[in-house]
Amino acid sequence: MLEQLLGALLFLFGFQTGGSIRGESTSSAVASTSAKPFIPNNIVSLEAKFLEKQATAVSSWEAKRASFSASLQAIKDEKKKTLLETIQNRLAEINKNQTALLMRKLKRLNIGVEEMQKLAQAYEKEGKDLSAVTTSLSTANQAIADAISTVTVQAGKTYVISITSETNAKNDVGKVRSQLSSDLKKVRDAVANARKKVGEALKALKNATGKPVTIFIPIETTGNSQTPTVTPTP
Amino acid sequence: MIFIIPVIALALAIGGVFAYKLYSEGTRAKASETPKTIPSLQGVKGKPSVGYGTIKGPTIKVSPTPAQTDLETIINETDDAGETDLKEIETSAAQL
Repeated sequence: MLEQLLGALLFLFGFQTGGSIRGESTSSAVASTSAKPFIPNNIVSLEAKFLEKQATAVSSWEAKRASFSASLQAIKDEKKKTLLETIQNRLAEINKNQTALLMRKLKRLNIGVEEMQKLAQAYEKEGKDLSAVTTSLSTANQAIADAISTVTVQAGKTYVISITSETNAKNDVGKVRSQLSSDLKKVRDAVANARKKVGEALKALKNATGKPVTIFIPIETTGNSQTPTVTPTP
Repeated sequence: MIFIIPVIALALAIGGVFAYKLYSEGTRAKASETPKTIPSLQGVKGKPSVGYGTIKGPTIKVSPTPAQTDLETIINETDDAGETDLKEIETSAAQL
């Protein structure tokens, strides 16, 4: 009786003993060895946050526009003024385009992880041990979430040139340009890390199944009409 | 000068008459080559065609195939983090 009670308690906490709740070694009482499936990233919600940040960046720039125009008064040459305005607009454009591009890539990687998870679950039903794959996929999923978070923060940033003097305008532009470059590199590294983790998960899946795995992902994921295709089907 | 203008006008008029004659003869010759009636087909059986009509059969719906990329390709992609665009800014800033 005491042994049965102890067995039940250990089972509840995820431990295994020689006996079961019923005091005998039945398959129903043995806990599964496979890793717990992870919760995939809610890409819709994450993308909404990203778009929100993008809109914030636009309104933030609108608010700072007056200060930029004021600092532009230090420039007497009209050609230089126009050039500075163009550069200022271009900085905002580069940040917007780059973050949007990286976000699209992360969305595709996320679809890849979701498809790999589905494939792994299908193979697991066949009795194959895919716990290593699940762990890799979970790591990749987290890396994507981290990268999306970094891209979202970057999308909300604004880069405004503060002109100190006409002679120093080139350096003033250089400072903001360097800042944007450095920030974008950080985002790129986060995306590269997510890519690496997804690659490792794909490799783990290939090794575990012993079959070549090809997952096709739609280039643009708008609506449910475009569905990824996966080979092989277990 | 007074004499040259009528001479040129006369030459142009003669040239025009000749050109028209050649053109009209050419079109007349072409028209004579074209048969007036379509010769009837020899040894043909069945009713003459009345057009394509309605073709019955399975309906094939054509839908645009979405462009797809292999996951492995996406994994192996590289990003320049906007370096090309930022280089342009550097070039523009050099003019300041």
